[in-house]
Amino acid sequence: MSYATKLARLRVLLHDMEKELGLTTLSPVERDLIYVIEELHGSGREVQTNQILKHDLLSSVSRPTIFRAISSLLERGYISRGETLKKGFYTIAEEHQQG
Amino acid sequence: MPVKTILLASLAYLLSFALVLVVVSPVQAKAFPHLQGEVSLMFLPHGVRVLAAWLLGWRSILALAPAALIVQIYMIGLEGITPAMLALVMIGVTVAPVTLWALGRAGVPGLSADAPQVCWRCLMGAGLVVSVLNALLSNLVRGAPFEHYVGYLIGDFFGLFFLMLLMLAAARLVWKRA
Repeated sequence: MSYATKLARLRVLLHDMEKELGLTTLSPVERDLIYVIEELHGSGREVQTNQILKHDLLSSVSRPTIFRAISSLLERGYISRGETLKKGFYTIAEEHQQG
Repeated sequence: MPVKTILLASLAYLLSFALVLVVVSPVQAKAFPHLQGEVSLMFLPHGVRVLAAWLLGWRSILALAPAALIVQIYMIGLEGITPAMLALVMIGVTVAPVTLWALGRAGVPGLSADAPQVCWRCLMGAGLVVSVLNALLSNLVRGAPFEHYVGYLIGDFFGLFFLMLLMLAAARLVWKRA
């Protein structure tokens, strides 16, 4: 496991703690969206909207809610648009990657 | 195992110990003057031990052993290094990975960074088991009154909890600054 992956796992563990203690500033859908992007982004690729929409964790969430959460996370700088293709590709914002 | 991993893990252990010496112990001495200095009510290095075991598994033994030995030498001096003290150092760094592995085999989820599921509560619970075993084994070697067992338990639990809170606060600061 690389250092970046270890740090990402540690970050997910801390997210879990935040969630359990009610300390998170993110809505449940925003937080799940970050989990999903983190997990899909683990392979090093930018994450496509289609992959996000198909993910099990977000299967019960409506598309408009997911798109609203994407906009909110983009606005707050948690995620950023892909480098290669701007539209429909996302990644965890560089400043929020701890690896 | 890369030297960088040993350095980072040992540095984290030494830093957490320094925090206990410089911040926790003086506050504890004022708040609970009747407590003996041997017991820390917020032993942050326990958190480092558990998190290192979670992240590195068996390799955490090697990664933390240098720092644990340095701490022992700092506390009791080179002349105090006896086979029993070396056993204490080994107990301190070995119990966490062995316990996490055993509990993981018994079906407790999320006790390794490699596990698909992340479970903060499970890790806190496992940290408590590690603490009990650590206290029992350590006190068997050196012999200590019952209050010390209770003190170790409380200190280890809050050590793990507050270390994770500190990490959370640090992560948020980094996010805010970015």
